[in-house]
Amino acid sequence: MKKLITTPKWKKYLLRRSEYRSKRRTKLKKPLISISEYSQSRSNKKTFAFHQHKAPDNFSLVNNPEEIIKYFDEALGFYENGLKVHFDLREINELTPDAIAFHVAFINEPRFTKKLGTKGTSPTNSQFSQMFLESGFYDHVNSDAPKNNAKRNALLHRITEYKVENQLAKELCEKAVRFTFGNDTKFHPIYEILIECMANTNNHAAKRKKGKYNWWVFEYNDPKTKITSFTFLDFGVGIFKSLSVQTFLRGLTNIAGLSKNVNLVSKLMAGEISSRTGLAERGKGLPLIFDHSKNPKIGASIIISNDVFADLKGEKYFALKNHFPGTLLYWELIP
Amino acid sequence: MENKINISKDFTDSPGARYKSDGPFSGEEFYEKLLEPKFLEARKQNKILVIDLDNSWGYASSFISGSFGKLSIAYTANEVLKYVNFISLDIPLIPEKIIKEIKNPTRQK
Repeated sequence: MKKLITTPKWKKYLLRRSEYRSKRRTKLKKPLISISEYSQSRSNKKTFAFHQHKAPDNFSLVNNPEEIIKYFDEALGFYENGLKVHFDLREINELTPDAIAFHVAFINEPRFTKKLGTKGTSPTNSQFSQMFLESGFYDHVNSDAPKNNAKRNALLHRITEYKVENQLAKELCEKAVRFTFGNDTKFHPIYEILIECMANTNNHAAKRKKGKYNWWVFEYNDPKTKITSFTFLDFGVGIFKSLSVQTFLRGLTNIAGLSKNVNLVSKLMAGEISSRTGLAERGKGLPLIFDHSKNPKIGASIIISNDVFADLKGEKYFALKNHFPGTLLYWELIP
Repeated sequence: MENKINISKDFTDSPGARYKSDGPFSGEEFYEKLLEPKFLEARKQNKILVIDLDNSWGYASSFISGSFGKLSIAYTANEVLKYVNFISLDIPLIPEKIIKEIKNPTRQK
């Protein structure tokens, strides 16, 4: 039986309810769109979420340091502004192993990427895309690309324990001499350089605190030239912001020109800075690396750190406009 | 009878860096386990301690200073050079570097 509403309170309630329902029924609905229009709108959203960052044509840190450092410096700026970055390497026409190492180390560094999204497009050039594949690059990123199960020509490794890894250094050197020389010679310069690099990172990468940073090492065996190249890098403070160099600079008075980092390279390679500061236990690695660069079986020998590019083999040093966020060493074992 | 240390057989063929905290087979570890005890033994017996450096992957400067440099600081360069000789056919220049370190040892932390 229908209820008879007579009281004002209930009449008022029913009236408001009726008006509300009426509004809902007559509310304009969004027009329907096709499935293709819907998909397009979704993909448009995805594109705008990542900032496209086209790589320089010459993607080589040792041959084109200014542009490459600037490229990653710009990426750093995008991340700092909250943008995700899409590294577009499709159109590069030069590629060297050091750039691959720098690239993978950079995008795996949370301090740089702020844990924002990162994407990348591999080179169109089949030779370069194969280099990326064989390097083990895709072992360190989320990708649909096949993992480098064969690892025939390269080894990419990362250590997080922050210590010197003798066994790893030995394995890298064994692989290198076997590939480049075709024998099992214990070629000591490459081993000693590796140990010095690891020890220097562990002890110098953070100004005051040991063992704060990890390092990357990339050994690439070039099947065409039979050259084995080594790239070792860390994102520490860099050689010229290290404690021993800063101590040295503080001790200088009125010596014109030495305040520029590039002017300190010769002294560093001669071991003069460590002896001057009295911190002789530090800085002996660089003179050893410098000496080994003169070995006829060592090809290119390059250090990039802070605002300095040092070609040890040719003893040519120049200042960079863009700062490298750490230290990178590159050297080659030639047949 | 001479005392001898064959580093590659008695210690490792892949020496590390300076301190034990740096990683395995450091100069410090070599000094504590082999170098100092054998040196003291040789000195006591008035014999020569022969260090065979061959068949090794190499010796970083930090390893040399962490071992031989430390020995020199502890017992003086003259004393060390009196009782220690080196064999190195693989890396002829290594004994010279070690002797240089012994004569001008690196100050430790």
